[in-house]
Amino acid sequence: MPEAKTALARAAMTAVEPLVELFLELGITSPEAESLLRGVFVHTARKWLASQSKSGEVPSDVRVALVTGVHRNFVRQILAEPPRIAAAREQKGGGAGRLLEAWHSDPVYLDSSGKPRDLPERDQEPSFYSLATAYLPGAAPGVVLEELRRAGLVQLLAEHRVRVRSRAFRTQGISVGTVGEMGSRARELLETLRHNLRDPAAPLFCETAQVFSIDAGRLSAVRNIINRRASTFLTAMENELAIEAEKATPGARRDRVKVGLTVFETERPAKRQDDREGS
Amino acid sequence: MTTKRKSPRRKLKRSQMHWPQGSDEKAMRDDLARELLSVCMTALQAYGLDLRRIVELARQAVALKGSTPTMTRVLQDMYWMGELISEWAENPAYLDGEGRPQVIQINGSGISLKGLAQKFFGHRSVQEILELGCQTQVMERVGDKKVALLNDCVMFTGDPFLMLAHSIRSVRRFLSSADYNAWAPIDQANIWPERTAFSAVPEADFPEFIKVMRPQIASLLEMGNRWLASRAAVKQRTGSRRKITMGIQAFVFRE
Repeated sequence: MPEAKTALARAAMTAVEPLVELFLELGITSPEAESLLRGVFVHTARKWLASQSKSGEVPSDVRVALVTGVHRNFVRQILAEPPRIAAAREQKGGGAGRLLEAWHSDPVYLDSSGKPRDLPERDQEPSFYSLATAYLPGAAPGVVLEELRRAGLVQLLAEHRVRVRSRAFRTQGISVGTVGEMGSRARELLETLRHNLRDPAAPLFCETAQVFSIDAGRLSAVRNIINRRASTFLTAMENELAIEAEKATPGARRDRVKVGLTVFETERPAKRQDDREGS
Repeated sequence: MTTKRKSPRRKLKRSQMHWPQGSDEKAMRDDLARELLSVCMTALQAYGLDLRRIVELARQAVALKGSTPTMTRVLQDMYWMGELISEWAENPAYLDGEGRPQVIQINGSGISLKGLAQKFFGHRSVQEILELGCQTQVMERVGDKKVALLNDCVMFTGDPFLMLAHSIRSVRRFLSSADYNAWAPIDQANIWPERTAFSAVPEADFPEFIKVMRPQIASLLEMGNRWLASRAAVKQRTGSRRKITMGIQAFVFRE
């Protein structure tokens, strides 16, 4: 491999480090990961070649083999199966999702800033029981509470109080769904960064706030501040984008672009001075 | 360093001397002043004052020369309640593992409402502060012995005395900014920021507008409060020790 290409590939591989850590946690070996990567490489190459073609024509196995360096027999074999990595799937919780949404939007369950309140389980209204009765009639509030707690969507506090932790129903921990979602988020970020490398004249927004070293004892408070500010910002952006979406010509399906925005926090031990700073 | 001679305030006094120019401008100024008084008088009628009483009070108001002792007294408790909220919501000792205000004991020597009440309300009883906090929707009881922080601001709503006092302070603050900007130099850096957005839309959309703006206003003000609190906590060792009240206020309106 030419020296410049090797240097570029090495630089890009930094992005893979967190993925490798996850693979190690899941017990996926290097050969298994390489096999998985080859499959994704071949499927992506076929899509990429098709997008490069003016007519959108599906490239031949030979062409994919030439671009990827994988033998055409393997290319045929790999393309005969769907990609091994599942697409991101957000599990919808049905009634539970309705309850969580109401907790974040019904004024009765919000504080004066519009944030969801911590609720008493049942002693005084508004309570979790009154919320569950209103938005999940027919389901026993106690059972609903236990299900949400097990899914990590609510937190039981002292004094029989309940705190909501998520607006949408999604499973917690390592599962096909959550890892798929992680992959989807990482892909979105990498796509934006790649776009900005290739088309610096028309960049997508990708900025980083200055990194500060803070007292570890203040970490929970800082996380809470980031959560509040970023949530408010995202809500504002949803409103702005919804206004744009309403302006769309009815029935015009072509020339549409899906626009989204993701905000995330980074943390790392302050001791690692050798790390490049960024978040 | 800006010298007093070069400060914007000195410049604006000079321009103030040249306005209004001519009888037309004077008449226009008087018309606007009359309308400002009319707006205030109409607002006072909503508090049950008739016009004759308002005119009588206006005559007495001249002697006050802008001082507001009653308003200050009425809002004093609310100011300290705001300081109590900041302590509860910011001091790590009062936060739970997620950085949110924890449910605390009403009585007790350590982390308790009694401790907060003693710090901000002196020797007044914790029961009185608890009632005031519940009345202004700052806190809510949790069982017999504990209390939770309910909101991160003091709610004046539903109390005409508090709202009238709050109106005086708000109007004074707005007029102070308007007065400065009326004479301020044109350069952007010296203008105090003041923005308004409004449009005629169906009345039914007003609740939706409130829903959209509430978290944004709350977040902006919270950010401002944290900045001000951090600066207020810094003890100046050099330079002027004079402190002034500065802040930001935002509200939704309909006409």
